[in-house]
Amino acid sequence: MHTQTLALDRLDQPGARQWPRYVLTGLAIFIIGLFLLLPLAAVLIEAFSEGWDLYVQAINDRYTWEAIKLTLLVAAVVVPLNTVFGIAAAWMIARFQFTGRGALTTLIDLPFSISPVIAGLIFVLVFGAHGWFGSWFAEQGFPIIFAVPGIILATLFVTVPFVARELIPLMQEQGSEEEEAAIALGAGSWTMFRKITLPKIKWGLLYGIILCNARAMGEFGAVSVVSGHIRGQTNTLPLHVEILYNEYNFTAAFAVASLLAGLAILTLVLKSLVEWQQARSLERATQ
Amino acid sequence: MSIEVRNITKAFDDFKALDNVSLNVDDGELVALLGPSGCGKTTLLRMIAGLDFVDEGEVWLNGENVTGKHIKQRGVGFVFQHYALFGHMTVFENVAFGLRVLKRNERPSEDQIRKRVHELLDLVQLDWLSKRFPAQLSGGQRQRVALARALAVEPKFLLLDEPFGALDANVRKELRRWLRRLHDELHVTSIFVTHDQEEAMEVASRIVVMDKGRIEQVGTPEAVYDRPASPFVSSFIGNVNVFHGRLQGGSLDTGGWQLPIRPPGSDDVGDDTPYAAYIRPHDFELLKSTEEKLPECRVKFIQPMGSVYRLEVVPEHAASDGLPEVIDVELPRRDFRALNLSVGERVYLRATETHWFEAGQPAVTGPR
Amino acid sequence: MKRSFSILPGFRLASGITLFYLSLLVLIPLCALVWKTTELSLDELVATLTNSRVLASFRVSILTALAAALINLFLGFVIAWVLVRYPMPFKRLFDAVIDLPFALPTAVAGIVLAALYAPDGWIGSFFTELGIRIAYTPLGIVVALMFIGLPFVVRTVEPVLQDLDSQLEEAAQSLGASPWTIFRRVLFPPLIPALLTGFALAFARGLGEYGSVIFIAGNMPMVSEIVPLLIITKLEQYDYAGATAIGLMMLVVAFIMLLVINMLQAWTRKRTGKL
Repeated sequence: MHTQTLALDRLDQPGARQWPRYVLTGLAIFIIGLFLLLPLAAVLIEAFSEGWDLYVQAINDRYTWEAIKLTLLVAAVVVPLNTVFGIAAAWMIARFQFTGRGALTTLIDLPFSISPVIAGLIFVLVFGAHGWFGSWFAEQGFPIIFAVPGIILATLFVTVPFVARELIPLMQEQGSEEEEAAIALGAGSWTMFRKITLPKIKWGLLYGIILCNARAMGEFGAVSVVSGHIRGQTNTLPLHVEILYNEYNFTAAFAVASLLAGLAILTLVLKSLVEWQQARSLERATQ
Repeated sequence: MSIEVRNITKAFDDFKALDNVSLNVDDGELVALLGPSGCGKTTLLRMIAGLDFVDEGEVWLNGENVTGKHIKQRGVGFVFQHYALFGHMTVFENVAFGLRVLKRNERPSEDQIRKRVHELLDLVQLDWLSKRFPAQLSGGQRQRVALARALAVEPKFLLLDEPFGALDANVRKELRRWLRRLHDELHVTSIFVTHDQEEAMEVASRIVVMDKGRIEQVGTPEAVYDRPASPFVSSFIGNVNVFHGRLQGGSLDTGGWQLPIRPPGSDDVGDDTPYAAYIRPHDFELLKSTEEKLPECRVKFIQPMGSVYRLEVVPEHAASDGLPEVIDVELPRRDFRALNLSVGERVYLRATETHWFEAGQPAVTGPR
Repeated sequence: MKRSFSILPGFRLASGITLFYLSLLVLIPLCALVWKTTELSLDELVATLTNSRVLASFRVSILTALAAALINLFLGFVIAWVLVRYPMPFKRLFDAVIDLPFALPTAVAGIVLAALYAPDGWIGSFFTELGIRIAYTPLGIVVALMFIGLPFVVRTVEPVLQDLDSQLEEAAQSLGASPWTIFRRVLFPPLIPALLTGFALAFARGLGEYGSVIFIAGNMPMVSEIVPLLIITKLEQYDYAGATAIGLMMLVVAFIMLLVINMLQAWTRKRTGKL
């Protein structure tokens, strides 16, 4: 979100008291510093507290590498699937009128308001040893819970809304006239999507993908329930952080955490860039 | 290349947008669909285009029933109200779009596409802007790009939804004439939607006046202005003063205030028959004194408007439901000068032309 | 599914993908939760939910989430106000960093907050001198939930604050109102729906939060054990019925919060006339 200073602050015209402004600005900076910047800095400081060598050693551990690989694998499956779903859902909801549209939108939002632990729990109930299909999958030699598929399912669940809820309001605001015009000029469905829709939504789509990716790589609660915490097999980076921390191996825990903090910083930077691009293209369109 | 609409009905939920509408447009005509917002004119246009489908009735294009056919198979060019230009493409690419998406065996070569697009941009006098993006154009320029884009696929019919709706008054005037000339040049059967009666009168060869999902009248601009088929048409096209009353001898009695006019051919109509007289502001004559028995008014307000003077006159010693509170009168500059009127003066009112309606039904139109 | 006609293609494909995906991933698993609960008799259900440890965990979760959301309501409002209305250095940076809690994995937040607020941590040691323990008490939970919930309030209030018509203020000023009166009577009322929405979002998130809390909470049963942790504990003890019953309860609360949030958002839209 982009903030702009109002050209003229009405409460701050000559004669108005200036102290509220300074007090409030000071308070805001203090809160942001104490609650947001300090923890971020602390992760890095703790990670390097025992020196560069120990940091490298912590990262360069076999189990850390396995965790990195698994985290990347999960994101590589989850993000494309949720992107396809997000585009389909947004196309359906923002471009057509049908009964049950509001209910569908709410259903898409639902995973956001459910505790991640519940997200894990429901997959245990369906695919766990005592679940509906759990024993069948296990007999086929394809266990889901305490295995990679379960981690992917739980992560899919918690990240379902990200792309869709970014695109729905965007596409609703853009309206469908350009797409109708393309069809009227003889374009086929795929051509219309590729040449008209996709260029129009690309920044919003990218924004949703960035946020979806951050959550997919960083999800802890839901994954924690279904993973089983088997080192080298079902341990994602966030779970690895937990294990190291609980073993009182703080330096290593913070070293691995610093990788995730780096991911968060990268996410924020990319997000700001996309917002900036989006604002620019919007400006161009409304000149 | 004719357009024929047969008994179309369309409802959105409970709202009846079109109610049994039929219409014929001949080859090469330029027709305006005119009416207030919500009258169904845009819906009718979209049905003809194939952007919307009918509940009942049929659409025939060039003698072929296209009711169930997709817009792609109808050979129509459609210009959207807000132009719907592709914001991320240049003007050139916008116009070329319809050619580029043709199937490979129908698609012209790149050279042919370039030649065709430049021809079209020349036609709408915008070739010098071909590398710009839509956001860098003025409203009038965007409108012309949209038209060029619609023409690129050589449509047999051109349909325009409020083509001048989003433009400034000056640009609008200029574009109207331009559209008229362009139509004379291309001779594509065209329909455009508008809510501006002046626009319809100036551009169209025929006007279709619509209200509440029905067609009220179809006719040339002169016909709908001079011989309105209904009270709605009379008051929607141009300004009009309405007098409600009953026939009383040789006059219309609006309740103690007599207008000495009577519908032509109404000799055998009995006294006390209710009638409404619709009189346009320029169909009045003002007299300073008279021998005739004419109603008395007082001048309340005088506004010079250039070539005409607009006056508001108030009926003297009369207050009745059938009378307008003020009567609008327009006098040519020369007549006003000759009368030398000032505010507060007493005048006598004579109607030179009246449209008569009996109980909401069209009756007859004529002098006196 | 009844729909009105459009010439745009792809409704069948898009709705097919959407409904299939949502059913498989969201609807069926959620039904499993409801279904599993029905395997419990009513008495068992009541017994599970009225168990003193379960009740205590609900009390801890609700009270800490409520406290954190209330504090965030105030802090988030101040931050949004300053970001929108006052010039300040590095504004872009400050604005971007507001979203950190959305981007930072909760486990990372959890361990770093625990380290900072531990009795010997940078902030914790300061409070220890004052005789206050934050980490490993319910206070620690509140701190973690404040971190998690802050952006919700800021991001819901910010756009509404930005769209406030500056003519409102000028009009009030021309009528002779003092700055405080202008704030109280003119600027604040239109912000109420957005503030409440932000509060509800932060509260809902706080109720379900797990990762950032467990490291700092101490997790003492009856004192600082949150509901999501209790569910995991029950699962680890193979008490599926118990976990399911508590989970269903959480789901019901989540539904209610979603309903409340939808209503609040509708109210905001009505007030601001926007989507």
